Amino acid sequence: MVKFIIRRLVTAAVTIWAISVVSFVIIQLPPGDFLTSYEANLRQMGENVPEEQLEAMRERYGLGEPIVTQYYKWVKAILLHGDFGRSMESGVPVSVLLWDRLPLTVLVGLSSILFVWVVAIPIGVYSATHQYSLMDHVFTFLGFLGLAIPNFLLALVLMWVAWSEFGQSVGGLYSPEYKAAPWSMAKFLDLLSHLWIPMVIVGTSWTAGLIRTMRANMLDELNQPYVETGRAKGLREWRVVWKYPVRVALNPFISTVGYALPQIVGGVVITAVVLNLPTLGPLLVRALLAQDMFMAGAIVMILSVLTVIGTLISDILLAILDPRIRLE
Amino acid sequence: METSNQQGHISGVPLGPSVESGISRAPDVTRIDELQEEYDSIAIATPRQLMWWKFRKHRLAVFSAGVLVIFYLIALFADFVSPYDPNVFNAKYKYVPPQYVTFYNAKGDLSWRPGIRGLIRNRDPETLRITYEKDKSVWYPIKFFVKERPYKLLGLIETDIHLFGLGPEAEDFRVFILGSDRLGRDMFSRVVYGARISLSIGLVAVFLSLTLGIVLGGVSGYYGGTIDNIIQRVIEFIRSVPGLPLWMALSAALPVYWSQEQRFFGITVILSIIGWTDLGRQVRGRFLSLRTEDFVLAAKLNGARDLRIILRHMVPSFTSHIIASLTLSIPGIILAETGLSFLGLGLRQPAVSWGVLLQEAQNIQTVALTPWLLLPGLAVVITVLAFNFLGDGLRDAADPFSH
Amino acid sequence: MPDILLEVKDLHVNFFLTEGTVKAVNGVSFKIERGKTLGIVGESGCGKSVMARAILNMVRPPGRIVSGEINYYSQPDSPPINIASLNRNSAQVRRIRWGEIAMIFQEPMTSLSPVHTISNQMIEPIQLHLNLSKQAAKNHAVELLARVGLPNPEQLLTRYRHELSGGMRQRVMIAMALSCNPKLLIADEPTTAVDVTTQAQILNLMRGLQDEFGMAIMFITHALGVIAEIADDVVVMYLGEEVEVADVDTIFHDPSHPYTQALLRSIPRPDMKLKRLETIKGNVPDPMHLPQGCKYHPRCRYYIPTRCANPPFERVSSEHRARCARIHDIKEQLSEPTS
Ligand SMILES: Nc1ncnc2c1ncn2[C@@H]1O[C@H](COP(=O)(O)OP(=O)(O)O)[C@@H](O)[C@H]1O
Ligand SMILES: [Mg+2]
Repeated sequence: MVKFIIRRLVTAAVTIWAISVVSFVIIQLPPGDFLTSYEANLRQMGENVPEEQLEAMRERYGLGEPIVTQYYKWVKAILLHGDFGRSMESGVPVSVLLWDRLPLTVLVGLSSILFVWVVAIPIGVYSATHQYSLMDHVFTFLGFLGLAIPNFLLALVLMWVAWSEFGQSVGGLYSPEYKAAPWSMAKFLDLLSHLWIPMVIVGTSWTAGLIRTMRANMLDELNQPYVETGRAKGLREWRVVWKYPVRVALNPFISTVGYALPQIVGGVVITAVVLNLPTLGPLLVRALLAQDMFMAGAIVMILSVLTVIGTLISDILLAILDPRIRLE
Repeated sequence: METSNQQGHISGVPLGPSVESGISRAPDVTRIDELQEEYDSIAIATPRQLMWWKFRKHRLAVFSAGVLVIFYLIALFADFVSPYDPNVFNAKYKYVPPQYVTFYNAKGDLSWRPGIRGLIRNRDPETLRITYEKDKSVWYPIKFFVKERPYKLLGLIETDIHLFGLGPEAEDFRVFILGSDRLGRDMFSRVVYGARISLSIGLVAVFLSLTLGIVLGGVSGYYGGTIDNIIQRVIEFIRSVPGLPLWMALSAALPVYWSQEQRFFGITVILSIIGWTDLGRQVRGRFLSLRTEDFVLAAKLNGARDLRIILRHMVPSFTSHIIASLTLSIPGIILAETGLSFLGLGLRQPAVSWGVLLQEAQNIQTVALTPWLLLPGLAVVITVLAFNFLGDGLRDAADPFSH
Repeated sequence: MPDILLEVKDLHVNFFLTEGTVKAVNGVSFKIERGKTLGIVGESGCGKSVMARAILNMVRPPGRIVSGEINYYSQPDSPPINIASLNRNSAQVRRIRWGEIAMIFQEPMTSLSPVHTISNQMIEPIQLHLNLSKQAAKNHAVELLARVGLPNPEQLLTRYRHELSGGMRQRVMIAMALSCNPKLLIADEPTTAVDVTTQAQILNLMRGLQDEFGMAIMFITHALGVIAEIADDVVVMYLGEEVEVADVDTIFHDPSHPYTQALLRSIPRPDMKLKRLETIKGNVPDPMHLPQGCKYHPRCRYYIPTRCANPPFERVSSEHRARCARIHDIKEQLSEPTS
């Protein structure tokens, strides 16, 4: 078990390193050196940048030096000082903007995953135990539909319905009166009342896929002799199903979550733009449209690292749940 | 697995000779019950026939295949199907809602041909928005095979015949069966033209993915060892990072001065770079299991070159599975393009794709007042559904032994 | 008057599939006496497992018990419970399962859950049927594991199935099956998936346990040789029907049905070393398309079209029956030492 965790930790570390390289490449992708465009940007707004400051920045980012040195300086600043550089657009340190939005991003992501699980597992179990029943067909069809509707379209349609039917403007994570308010129970409840919309929207498409996974896993397990043993022991049918095959079918299910996680995080980005959530997604889109690459690279990196950590946790969880993996 | 062979050949065991162990033809005794039926039918049907039978039984898949054929035909003959140029502005007809087609003409009599009512334009005195009202006193019949703007059919035949339109009698009145947008462009024509990019990007990206997947997956599975290890790590890496933000970042980095075609190609490449991993894994798995099979060994012993073995002997033996998974990976690409373009990071105006069209419906005010701008989304949903159903049917059919 | 524990009467179990109906069990009748062992033999696919599940009313859709009775006499003079007539999920059936009739399966590997400890799986039925506290149930489990010859039972309880060998798993299953003192133990090919030495050990163990616990055993196998070791009476099945019923001596020394005879000829015997083993010609037919008339006729060496159209289940002697129209001809033929 310890060996297993150490191996997963090493893999995760290597992955995170690779992510940092990719993010750095993203920063470097646009033509020209960003300081020049930064300067041009400020000039345009009528500001003059003192030569010393430019020089300091050149030194700070290692511009003009070999690319490897630049990468080294960039990573070092992040690791030692949490310094991701400055947003070219606003001049604010990227880290300030990041930390501001990170908690809510994680919250929206986690609650979506929670939603997906709570919905997908029981429905998957039901569909498998009632294979080819009417409800099984209905769920299968809804599942296909969920897969086919782009998240943002669902968001738009839901917003439209809420707006035209209930005269309610949805979007954001807080009502206007709580936006600037300090944290309180009321603000928290207000947050929850807004959270369900992105949760449902992002969840829908993933629920569909995971229902199918869960159903298929269950069908594989339901005919296993150990289920028959449970039944022969005189247990109630629901107890047989939930104690044995569900428990076993959950394991491959949890490992698919490792792959679902990156997609869910991606899905949240685009939904967040439509719903105007104070998360990293809209920030990323804005940064990309403005070619604010330090910002964009940092966000891509943070989102990817979060995903890797999430996957790591789900892997370790799986090892705890499944004695067979622990042994390897 | 470990038990089944112990069980099949227990004949030497003094305590428990299995009754059927001596039967020379019998394969694995325990599987006879399940395989019996298949054996019988396989004896008379070729695998291809078997696949076709299984596929045909999947009615939803057959229906979806029909829908897709129609969609691709529409995309191919977009100039013929669409009444108007998708990019032509018309200041007089901004945000016209979809027009109802009616068979009652201006006099209220039933007519044999469909037509549409005229429009009365009003300006809301408070919001200054233009609204339209049906003008029951006017009725424009819809004509088929009308002469309109000239174009080259399939890029070859010069013609000016269009599937339908109002013809010259209607003067500058227009038919908007799916409404019009902010600049008075015909949504129907735009959706029809949008099909070209949206439907082809899936095919092209999947083709690129397939090439990458077969080359890398094949190399990985065929050679094994270090190469396999490296490729597997790369696949794992790509799968463990969130695709969409990465796609977004890469698309944003495409040079601004690129032409529409270059951009299309760039986006396609970006989508397939991330999309090949699934295929790569499958190909590798197949190769690993095939590597040891007799015909590959035989080819190797005969001194065939490696690439030849891969191409001639290993690839064809699992085309059916590949086709099924290809079909299933197209929807993801279509959705990704739609999402990217919707955010303004994919294709851009004046290119017309369903994602680009949906960009017009980005804020809720617009959607609330002009919901028909969401209609390209319906096209996306139908296409993606059809591909999923078709892929499911193909996958079932590709597996002749599955139930 | 024999002391009957279980009486199966004209049992029919069908599977209703889209491709057609499989008559897996097609009119089987037999009795099991208290404390005795009934052997059931037949090639795979002839409906043995389905019948075993039917006795616990565990046949699930698309399968169903179509008709027949399964009368269970809990006490010698108590009125019978017809298990076949009960609801599949009723409390009554669930009480009988494991509490009165326990079952072990062919695959000891997969009959145990891969993700639960042995302890978890063993304690479950003990608590359910014997109403013991968790600790008492655990102690009981330890005793049973020791009784079936497993070393270190306390430690074993914390193990998972993949940590045990095949023989150990089957012993665990047997211990588990006996945990609630069942009156009948159904063993569905318990020795098929284990190696020869283990096979012998398990048979010995089961005989010993039978002496100690006094339960009846319904021993299912496709290997006639095993039957000789353990059974008192034997039912020979072919394609969902019983073709011959007799006590074990009669089956081995005076079989009447051509199928039983063929089965016997295919057992290797030390006293006939040089003779080639015979096999039964042909395969078991497709269960969806059963042969007309005598089901065994396509493979029978005595088949005469006119005679074998509808073979009766004929009484050979008081407790010996066989489903063959030509029993008497065959007897005569065999006694003439020609071929
Ligand atoms: N769940 C099922 N669905 C359909 N047919 C079944 C099912 N279970 C068993 N059968 C059929 O019932 C017949 C008897 O099977 P079984 O009792 O398992 O044979 P065995 O004597 O080897 O134990 C076989 O023909 C099998 O195909
Ligand atoms: Mg069986």
